[in-house]
Amino acid sequence: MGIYILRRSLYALALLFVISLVVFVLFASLPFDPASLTCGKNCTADVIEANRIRLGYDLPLWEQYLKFLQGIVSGREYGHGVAAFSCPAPALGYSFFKQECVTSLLITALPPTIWLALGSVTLWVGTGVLLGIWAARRRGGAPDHIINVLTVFATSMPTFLTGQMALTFLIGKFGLIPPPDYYEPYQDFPKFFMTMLLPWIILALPGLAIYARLTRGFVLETGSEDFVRTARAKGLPEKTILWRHTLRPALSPLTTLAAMDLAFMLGGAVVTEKIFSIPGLGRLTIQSVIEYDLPVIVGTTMLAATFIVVANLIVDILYSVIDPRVRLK
Amino acid sequence: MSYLQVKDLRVAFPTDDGLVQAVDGVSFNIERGKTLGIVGESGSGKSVTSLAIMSLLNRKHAKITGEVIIDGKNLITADDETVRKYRGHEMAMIFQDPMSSLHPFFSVGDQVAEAYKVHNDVSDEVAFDHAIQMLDRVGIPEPAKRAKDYPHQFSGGMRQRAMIAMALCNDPSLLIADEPTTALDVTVQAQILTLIKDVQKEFNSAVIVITHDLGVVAEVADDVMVMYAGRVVERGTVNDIFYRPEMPYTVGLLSSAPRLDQVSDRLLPIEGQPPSLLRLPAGCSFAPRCFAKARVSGDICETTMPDLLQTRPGHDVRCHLDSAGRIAVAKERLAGGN
Repeated sequence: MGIYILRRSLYALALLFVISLVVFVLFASLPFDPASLTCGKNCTADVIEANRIRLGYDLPLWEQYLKFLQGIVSGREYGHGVAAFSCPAPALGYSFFKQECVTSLLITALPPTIWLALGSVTLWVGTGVLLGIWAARRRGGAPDHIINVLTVFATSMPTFLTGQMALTFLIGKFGLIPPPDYYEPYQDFPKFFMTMLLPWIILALPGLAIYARLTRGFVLETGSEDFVRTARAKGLPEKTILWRHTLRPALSPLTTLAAMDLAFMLGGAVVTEKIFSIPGLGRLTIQSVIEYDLPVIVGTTMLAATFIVVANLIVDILYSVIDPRVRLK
Repeated sequence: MSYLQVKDLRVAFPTDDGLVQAVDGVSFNIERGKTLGIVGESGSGKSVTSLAIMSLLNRKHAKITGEVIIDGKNLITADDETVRKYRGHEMAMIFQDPMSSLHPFFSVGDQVAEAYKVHNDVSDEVAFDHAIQMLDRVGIPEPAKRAKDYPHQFSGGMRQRAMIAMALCNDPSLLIADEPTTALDVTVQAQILTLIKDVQKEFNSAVIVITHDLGVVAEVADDVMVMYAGRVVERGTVNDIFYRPEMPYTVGLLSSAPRLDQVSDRLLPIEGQPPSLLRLPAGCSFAPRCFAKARVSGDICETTMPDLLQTRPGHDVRCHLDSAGRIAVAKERLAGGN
């Protein structure tokens, strides 16, 4: 088991290395001069060249990449003498626009995204699974049909539409919920909760629908398995048959899916964060894209990729815990 | 009064194409300590009969009428909770495929312990200890160690033993085995049948063995019931069925099975296929395939369903041909002649 985890971890690390290489080469080959993007309209060629040397854009590409990797491990120094500044490890670059290290920008933007992702993924997995079970139990009945219609509706409504509508009507017209704002949960939890409630729900809608349909399928499929009949033949109560025997096999696929979804959401919810003014990774990404702030884009991309790779690693390990048939000796 | 009484049991499944009458008026009794073999081809209603006794058919999809009386209690009209307490406690079932019938995610010991715990107010530890005892009883070596294993770590025969341990852990008065050896290797089949016989003796249970394999019936059954298209067509002691069969269908089954004690050039299969339960023949269900039909005068076989009538005490047959004619047909067919 220990060897398995070690091997998977090394594999994940190698994968991240490859991703960093691809991302770096991809952004370096864009038709922008990162140095000339570092100052505004009243720029002189001297300033641009000075910045180029200071940020290391004058070096050959392979050397830039090595410095990039080195920065992740041991931090990075920019410039010399009085104009020198440094970013501590893990340094992903320096944003000249924001006059800040990329890593500290990411660290500032991460908590709102984490709260948004955790809240909405919990909401959509929980509600989706419960709705799916309910639909399966009342197969062919009214709840099944209603949930079916609702899920089609929810999956086909894009977030920018539902989000904007919620903003216009629930907040603008009726004032049911406080206007978009962001509060740290440990500073003012009630306000944090009230302002996050709508983004959570809006972001959860499409995912909720998918989980409801999947769970419904799992429950119906497993419900016709021989081992569920055995459970019934033993005289177990229906509640035990459902929660222990029928849902247990659905645990591995649902966990896999939920972990991947969470990892994806941790990369930032661009549209939702923008609509509801949540200062998270999604908003940071969209800002950097608009401003051509390349180091930040590289940073957010790397961070999002890391979440996915780590989630994959966790899922692989979890899988062997959940399913005895893949358990390793 | 017999331990289990089944009276005029009927099970129908409404489908888009019409009503499928899977079981049509089956009645029988069984005592504790006795084994009843139910024989028939696929679709003859033998499995549905057993599932109806266990109340394992979904009432939304199956229309069930008649009576299944255990200890004077009719399970067909009883509420779900009452029936649930009977299941696994008073009556237990062993299924055909022990791989798919055991839950892949729980250890074998846990699954046996769960069956014990649901009907007995005991701690998890006590239930697990009981499970180990039961696994030991059904001949699983190193039961304390194997109890922690999962079904995929068991061989087919061991899985079926575990199923039997699970079925017997509450000392049920009625044990139903639905094709208990069909999915197993031949060498293991005999072991499992011997085990079923042994535990029956030990627990004095009533046993119903459902099979299409006449060899299994000859091995374990005291009484035999032959089913065809949802109806009982012949019923008697195991000797009646094997040595004095009268219904042409039973005779056909016997003549299509290879026998070691007789030299015959070839087997005599029954021509044709069992009828669709959606479009049963108007008369005797077996008439379209019957090789003795020519001996019955008129077209009564095509027009009227024969009743299940006593031919000798304890031996009932459903056939229009008279007893002497039936015996003659059987003799001729089983002699290996064409």
